[in-house]
Amino acid sequence: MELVAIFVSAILINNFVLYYFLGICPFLGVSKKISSALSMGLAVTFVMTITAVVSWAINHWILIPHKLDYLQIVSFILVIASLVQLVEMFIRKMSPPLYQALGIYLPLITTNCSIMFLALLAALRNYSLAEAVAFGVGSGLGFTLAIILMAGIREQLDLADVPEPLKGAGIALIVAGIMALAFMGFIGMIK
Amino acid sequence: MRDKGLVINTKEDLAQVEVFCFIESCHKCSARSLCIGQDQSKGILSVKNPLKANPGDEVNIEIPDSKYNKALILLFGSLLLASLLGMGAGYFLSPLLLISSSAGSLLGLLFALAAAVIILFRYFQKNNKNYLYPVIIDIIKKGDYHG
Repeated sequence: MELVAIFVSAILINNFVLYYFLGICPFLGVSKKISSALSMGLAVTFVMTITAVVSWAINHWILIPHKLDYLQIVSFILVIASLVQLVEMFIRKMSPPLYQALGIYLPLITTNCSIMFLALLAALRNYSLAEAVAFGVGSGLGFTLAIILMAGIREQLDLADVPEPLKGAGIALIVAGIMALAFMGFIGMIK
Repeated sequence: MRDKGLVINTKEDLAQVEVFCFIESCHKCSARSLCIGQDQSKGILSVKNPLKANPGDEVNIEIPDSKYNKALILLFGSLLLASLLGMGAGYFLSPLLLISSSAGSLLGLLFALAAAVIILFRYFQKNNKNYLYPVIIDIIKKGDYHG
């Protein structure tokens, strides 16, 4: 039951994008089309899940037993950067044109502050491995949900008569704010 | 998605194209150095060259967005699914291997990821890895190349 609460809470209540306002760069940058938003969401979910597992292992098997907790931030940065480098090397070898097309895509995941926050929050709350995985997958799916909803709205906005000064990032941020207000309705769902 | 570009080099079926909109849209971006390099202000793509464009030609290229998205969804979706299944399998098999459930989950994750990577690698090799290259669809203006 605790796992379900962590999972649902990470998706709907403590949504990284709409509650903590983290990961705004990919949220605004890759939310123009639903298909690209879905692929970005899946990429972030994968990296978040693996980060949650690897950072848990490093924290519980290396840092805490050797009283090196103060190295958490440095080691988590290293973990995230290494993971994304591995994914990048794999894609480069597997499909050079896909690697070429990704452009800013992979750096957007690497420099995504929500992934760092996930690792730190899981360590701070002293989650077990199963809880860390539920938190990682839930946070990733929450990000995916937010970015897909945003992409759907932005696709419709292309057809709307938006005032000139608000076109682009202006209206996107207003929509994000309204979505955040709507998601506040989920607070109280889990005590 | 379509873009205009200038052919700067050709090799076999591929051409190196300097894409104009890359420069315009990246011009004001503070994160530009992340994707196109600190000193480089040009976006250079390798593209398929069925029209045999030569260096100096101005061309239209088509970037297969939907193919990229499908490939990315397949890639990250299957890696995510494999990770979760591997961790689940490792968790339930850990008593048989006489290891803790955490160690079992991590081992399961490693094995599942390795298997997924091998399967994906073979899949992309088998399904013509070149299908994701952008294609030159039109030569707008011939350059002064006489080779």
